[in-house]
Amino acid sequence: MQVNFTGVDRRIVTLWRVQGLLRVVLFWGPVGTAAALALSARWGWLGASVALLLVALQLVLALVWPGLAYAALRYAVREHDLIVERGVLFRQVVCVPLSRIQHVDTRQGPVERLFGLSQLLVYTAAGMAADAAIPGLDESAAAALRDSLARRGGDDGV
Amino acid sequence: MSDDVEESWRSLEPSALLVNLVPDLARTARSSWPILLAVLLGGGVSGIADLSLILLFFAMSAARTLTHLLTLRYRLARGRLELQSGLIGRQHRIIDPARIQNVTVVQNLFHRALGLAELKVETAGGEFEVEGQLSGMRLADAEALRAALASRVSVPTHGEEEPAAVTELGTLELLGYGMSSGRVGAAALIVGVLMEVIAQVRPSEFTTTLPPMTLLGLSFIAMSVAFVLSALGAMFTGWNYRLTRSTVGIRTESGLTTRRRIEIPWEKVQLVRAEEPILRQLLGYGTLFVETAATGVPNEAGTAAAEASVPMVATAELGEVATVLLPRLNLDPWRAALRLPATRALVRALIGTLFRWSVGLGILAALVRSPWPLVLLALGLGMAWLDWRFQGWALSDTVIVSRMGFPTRYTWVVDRRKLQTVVRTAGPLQRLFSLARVEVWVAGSRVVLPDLMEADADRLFDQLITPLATNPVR
Repeated sequence: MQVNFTGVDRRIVTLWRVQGLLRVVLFWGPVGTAAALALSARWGWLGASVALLLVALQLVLALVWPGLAYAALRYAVREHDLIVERGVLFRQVVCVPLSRIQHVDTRQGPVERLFGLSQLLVYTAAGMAADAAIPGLDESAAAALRDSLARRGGDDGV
Repeated sequence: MSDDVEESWRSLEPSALLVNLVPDLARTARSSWPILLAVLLGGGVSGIADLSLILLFFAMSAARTLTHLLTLRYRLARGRLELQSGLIGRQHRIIDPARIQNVTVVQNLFHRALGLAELKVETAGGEFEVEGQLSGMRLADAEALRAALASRVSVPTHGEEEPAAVTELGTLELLGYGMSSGRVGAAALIVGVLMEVIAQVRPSEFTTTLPPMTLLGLSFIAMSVAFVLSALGAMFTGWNYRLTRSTVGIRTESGLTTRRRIEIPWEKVQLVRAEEPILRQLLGYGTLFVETAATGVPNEAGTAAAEASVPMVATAELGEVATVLLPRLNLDPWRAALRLPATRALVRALIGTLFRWSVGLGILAALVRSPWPLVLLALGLGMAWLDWRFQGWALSDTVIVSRMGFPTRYTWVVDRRKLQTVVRTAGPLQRLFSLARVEVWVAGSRVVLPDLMEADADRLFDQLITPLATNPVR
């Protein structure tokens, strides 16, 4: 690979873990408990174990997956294009020519605000959804990148 | 007309109400037929209540159309098309002619009886809507507005010169198109309706297990009716079909009751797609579609469709006609030897099929206790092999070609200048076999290329982005 990639802010791992734990506590925990009670009535401890095992798996994923996703996520802004690599199981490399960018967004949820992180979304004419997304950027870095990318002009190919 | 000139606001013709109301109500009825059927057949509710509900449904639709038509105003101001409409919620839209992807002039039966026309202007913005829709202008006004917009951009101006005819379709070709369109869904629906009719008319004779011969007969009738309906539909929409070209773009005209004329400048063509269902291939034909960045002119059913099409093209002429639609096409995908997908992609496809089909067939095997699930599995694996067998791709300095699919063969030809984003993906099964896939995204469409070995996919990815960037990625 001849590209000088940049990783995102390490704090994203903690942020994703917090989000994952919130999902486990607020969704998977209650659902798993209810399922364990329902299954234990029919299949005894075996049924309950299966439900609780699934909750435990969610917990492990919430703790382990963010580290893997962080290691797989990187980006590079070159003279003429933006390249984003991401995905743990499904690897994806996205190349967006800068001249094709229609608009650039930065987005922050409440938890992201707490961590001072922001997500950058790059849109071209190719679709309604963002063509490239870079989560886990420091607020100021995201704003600077957004302004820099949004300034590029050229033939938009439409 | 100078760009500084600002026309006064104009309204649609008063008879536009009639022209739009009837088709609008017909569309409402067509799109809501399950609800209407349920209301009409549902028991327990009195007839008057049912009727009131249906009338209310149609009245709401009619009120919306009437409000829109009565409040719609348009004008050309400073070279741009301006539209405003709405009673409570006002909308004011400005369309820059430079952003127009295609212009369509439509004349249905009502339009023609009253000397009116509908002008549709599409841009790349919005979601499944026509950005400028003026139904119920005098034909001369529609032509004048089209010409005025065309004078500001390179929309084909056929008025000044006689356009060159490329293709015209006859009755037999249209019948062939309709009959090869495949209407399995329609046939299934007709079988359902026939069974419902039997159950209603002769409930004593209707049992949950119909004799096999009755089912076979019903299926045969349903397929025949579906084919006839499909052929008739093709005759109506494709009647007197004509594809012409000018110095700057293409124009298609067709339609028996509703005459539709679509004009697309070449510079707006993003890709050309060929669709060859197996039955159409056997007849020696294929269909070509032109796609621009517009999000889709709604077709008769109100859903998004390609901007223009050539319904029947002889297989031997597909490349030639595709070049008319996309002049930058400098290789013939139907004559040139396309590059093949990786051999390992077949193994991946077979494993994927086994995985996908095994669950459903396992359940089926447990239920029926017969060898049929195994036969079906073999059929699925055979289909996977055929799908892989007919895949291919090619890259020239101007276009990217991708071919996929069996029993319907799809071929995409993408103008390389129009690339918006290039993506390389690899899922777990692909990575297990060192495979990867490249996707090219253009405005309005995404085209996937066949599975390649990782190194080949990397090379292709680089080749695609190199003209857009300066340094190779890998």
